[in-house]
Amino acid sequence: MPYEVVNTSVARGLTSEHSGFCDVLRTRGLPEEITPLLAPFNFYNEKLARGKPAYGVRSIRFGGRMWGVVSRVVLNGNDYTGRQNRLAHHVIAPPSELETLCPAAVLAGYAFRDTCNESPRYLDREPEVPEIAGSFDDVWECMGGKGWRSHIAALALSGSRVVVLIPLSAEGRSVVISILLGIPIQRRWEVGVVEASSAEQCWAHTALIRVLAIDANDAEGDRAWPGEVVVDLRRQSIPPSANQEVLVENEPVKLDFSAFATPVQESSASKTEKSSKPIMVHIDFSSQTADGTHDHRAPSFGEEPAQSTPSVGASKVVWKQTIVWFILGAVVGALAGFFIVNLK
Amino acid sequence: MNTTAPSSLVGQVQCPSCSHTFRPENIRFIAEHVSLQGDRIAGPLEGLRFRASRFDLDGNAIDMDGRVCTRVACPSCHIEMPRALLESPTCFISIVGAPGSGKSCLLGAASWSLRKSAGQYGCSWVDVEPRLNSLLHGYESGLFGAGGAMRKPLKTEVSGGDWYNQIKVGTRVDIMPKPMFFRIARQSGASSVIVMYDNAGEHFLPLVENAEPPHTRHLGQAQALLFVFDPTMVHSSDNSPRQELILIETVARIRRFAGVGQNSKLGIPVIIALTKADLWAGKVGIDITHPPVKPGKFVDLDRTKIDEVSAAAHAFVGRLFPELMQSLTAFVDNVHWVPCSAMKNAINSKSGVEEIQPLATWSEVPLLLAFDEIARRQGRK
Repeated sequence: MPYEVVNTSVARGLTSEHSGFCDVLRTRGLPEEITPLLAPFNFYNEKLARGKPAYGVRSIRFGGRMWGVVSRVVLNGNDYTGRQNRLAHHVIAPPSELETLCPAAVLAGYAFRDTCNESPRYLDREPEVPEIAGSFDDVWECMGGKGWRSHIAALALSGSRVVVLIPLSAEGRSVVISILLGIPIQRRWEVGVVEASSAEQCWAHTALIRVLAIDANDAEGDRAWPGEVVVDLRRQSIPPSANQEVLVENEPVKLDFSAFATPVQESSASKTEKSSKPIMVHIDFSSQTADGTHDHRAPSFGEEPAQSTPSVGASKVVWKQTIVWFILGAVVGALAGFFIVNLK
Repeated sequence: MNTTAPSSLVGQVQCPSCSHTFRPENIRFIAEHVSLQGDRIAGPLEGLRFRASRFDLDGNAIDMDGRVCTRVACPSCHIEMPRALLESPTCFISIVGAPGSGKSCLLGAASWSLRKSAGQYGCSWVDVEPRLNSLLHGYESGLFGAGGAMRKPLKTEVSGGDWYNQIKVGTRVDIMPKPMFFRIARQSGASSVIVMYDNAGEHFLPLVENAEPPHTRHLGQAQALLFVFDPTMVHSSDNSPRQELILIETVARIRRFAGVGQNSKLGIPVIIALTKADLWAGKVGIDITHPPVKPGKFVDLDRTKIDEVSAAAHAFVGRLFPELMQSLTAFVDNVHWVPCSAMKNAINSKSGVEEIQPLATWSEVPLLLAFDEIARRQGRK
């Protein structure tokens, strides 16, 4: 049975001598010793979350086994001392529930609390998680299409740490849910996705994917650690580079986008118009297995014609090479002429 | 060219984060070259910690890619520490108090007051490494920054955020409070590095400390204890925590961490900072309007004035909080009572509404007194 914990700052918590930040609601039966392990997930990063709820799906090791934790942290007015308060609500999946409880469904359908005005108590009922309803793929429309989801999932499944920068207009929760749905269910807890968390906050904890809703000119998103792959979806006009390398199952795979290249003779106006539309990079894990999970061992790449546009990157390279060769030829010719004249 | 004066090293260095004691030659340097980013304990965002074998003429290490490295870290926990700890005696001061008693406000106000007026006490007060004190700078700017409404410090988190360093040893993640470092130098020339910690009040509550988070392990190395006691808290709310229990718990932890015998009293000085004095000091006849300064050849703290105020405050607390007095008498011999406040309740002359304004009164005195007591005990005064 899953458990839940609500942690906020109150004058009197569940334990008689405990005040300040402490648990105020906890499902009966949850081992009390797990509380210190949840403490780092209670932090609300105001700079990155900007007043919105911050979500996270992580795993912890407790009693030698893996437990899953879905968290939602929100600002919660002022506490009893008059200082700014936050409320962290965790739904915890014990090891026996990891394969049946879908973290995406918890994020999508569970009624997380924004405030807690009731007195501290133990909860006797387990949290009810409804089945996931609807699609969350629409969220990718303003970021170049849902092909990015597969791309990000493939990176994380290969063991890479990924930071996904999304525009402020995109809803972080939907992005997190959509990414989770792109990961095989048995690996969703293990991979982990967090939103509005800094690199310092989460390097030591299990969460391979970090989603940051951030302004396009904000440098905060540039703070990534070595090896962390930055997928910047804030500027929709920037296409992926022509030969992008992605690690899949620890094997480097070259993504060749030259097939999308723009015809050279296009006018500059049409180029601008075209490049403002998103490029779709679709890593096709179409070979769905019988149990509904994605087979990520044999990636292939394609495009969705309705949304994709040609890239101007390859044609630029050809032009640049032509110009360089022309200049080199001119220099060599001039030098040859100079020597011939002087030798005579 | 070597432009620095030769420095003498201390015999033993104690890590302010993990309390590990080591000789200065065992210090780890932090690699500066971008290709050497990532450390197995300090994390992937930190430079590699390494034991140096190549140095330049100024005594700085040279990393594997040829960059000069000046920053140093503990050989055990790999958390960065200021290099001044290798050269100057260190005073560890632990600040303890209940949640909401005003520890962060007092720290911010004390530091700000000392920056402005350390000279009147015959000393100087500067950051050892401003980068490592950024949290405190935030408190100061929020409380006393120009051109905006006063911002009280955010409630100190129990874990995570800017208040803590985290390291990873194997699969275990340890979270340690970030120390703050100041250099205090007297007119007579002696200087020390003061190391302070701003824990969440929740860490000092009974039942909280366990084998997992070493948040309050610094109590074991504290040379002075600054206990922040809010006399207004007890009567303002039925739900306020019992502050004398926090003191008893703190003493028990000091005994455990420092190996003090169960039958002996604490040997360290305990300064009780009675906060929010603007609300009560005037009513009980305690005058703290003027700073306790004794003029002379070397300007100094006016211990006579402080002792007078301490006696009056002691009588006040003894009347209202006998349980605290009993606990202190049982555990400590060297106690000083210092009323102080970081803010002041005042009537706004324009709006006529009562509001809280930043006005530090005697907030620097508990820190200076703690330093004074440590220096006396070490025979440096």
